[in-house]
Amino acid sequence: MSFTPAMSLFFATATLATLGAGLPAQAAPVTLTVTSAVANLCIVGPAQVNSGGATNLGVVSGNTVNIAQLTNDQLTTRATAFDITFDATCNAAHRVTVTSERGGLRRDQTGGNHPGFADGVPYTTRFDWDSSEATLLAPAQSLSEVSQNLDIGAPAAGSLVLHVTIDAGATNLVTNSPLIAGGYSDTLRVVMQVQ
Amino acid sequence: MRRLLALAIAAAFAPGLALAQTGNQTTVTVTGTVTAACTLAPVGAGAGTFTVGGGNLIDTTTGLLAAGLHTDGPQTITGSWCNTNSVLTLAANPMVQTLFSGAPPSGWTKSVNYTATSTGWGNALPVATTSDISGLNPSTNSATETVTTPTAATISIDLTNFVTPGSNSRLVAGTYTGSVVVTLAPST
Repeated sequence: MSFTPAMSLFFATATLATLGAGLPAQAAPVTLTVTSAVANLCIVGPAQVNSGGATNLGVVSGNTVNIAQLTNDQLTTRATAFDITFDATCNAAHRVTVTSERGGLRRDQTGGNHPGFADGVPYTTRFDWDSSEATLLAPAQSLSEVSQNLDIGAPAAGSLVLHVTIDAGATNLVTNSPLIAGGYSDTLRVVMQVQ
Repeated sequence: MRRLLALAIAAAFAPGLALAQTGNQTTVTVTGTVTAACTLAPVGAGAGTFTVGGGNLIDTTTGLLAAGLHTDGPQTITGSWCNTNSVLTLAANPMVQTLFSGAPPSGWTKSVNYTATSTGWGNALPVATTSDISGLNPSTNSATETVTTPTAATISIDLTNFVTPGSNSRLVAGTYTGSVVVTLAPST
């Protein structure tokens, strides 16, 4: 069989048509990434001293809580109790640390001590947070800070409540010892920090 | 000598002249097919990532999702075309903090929803993501836009309306990542 030029052209075009009739070509997908972050964060709001249910609570001025009467008629410690609440949030596992900077309620002035008289008042601070609790004992034995930690393994938000309690007759000497005259003070420091 | 040369040229053209004669016609059919095709151009170097809120999702005074969050600008896919009817598909996945194990505590979330919208290829095509508060079950939501004409255009995509699944849920710390997948195909 011999091919004319026309026949050769026909076969060539038929072959091209067969190759071109493929499936519709879908474009390769494009994936766009969306990203951002939330930094580790603990937020502690201002202190709110709760007068309801308090015992022997005096004037509250800003972040200063005054005890109405530190001693009773026998000049030893009068029972005192009050709560301090903070609104707080931590967005990851975190630690709450409550610190007594003076290690207890200590007499501000130095000197003038006398045997049989106490110059410090121990107290406890139980703190409740995220259905857990811990208790700081400030024994007023030395002028050095004492701390208590509470570790929480998850984010938490709510109220951190400090229950401050001074027992009747509590002193850094023996129970019911009289207290030397003067001002007594301590500073409680609350730190919440992502671990 | 001049006459002999003229005869030789006529003999060479003789076969072609015979094909064009009436009554002995040959039809040459030339066919071809253009395959239906679409092309999505790749996004440019350094592009392809939306950064939301400048890299920070929350109001650091409250721990809640920041108000007015936006991206660092739309992502554009230039040079895309379809030579036939086409369907554009936009599939969006929520932003999730995947390294947080399990479900966050009550009042917390590890996912952020948003609305992805494409423009430039037919009508605007919005897709809102959904996920549960825990972020454990983020859903891929998608929508399609069909265009009934060959098209060559730039597709622009941006994200808006960032929200947490639960009202006033706080966000756990960490990196949040989601994705938007764009597909372009011939429409049958």
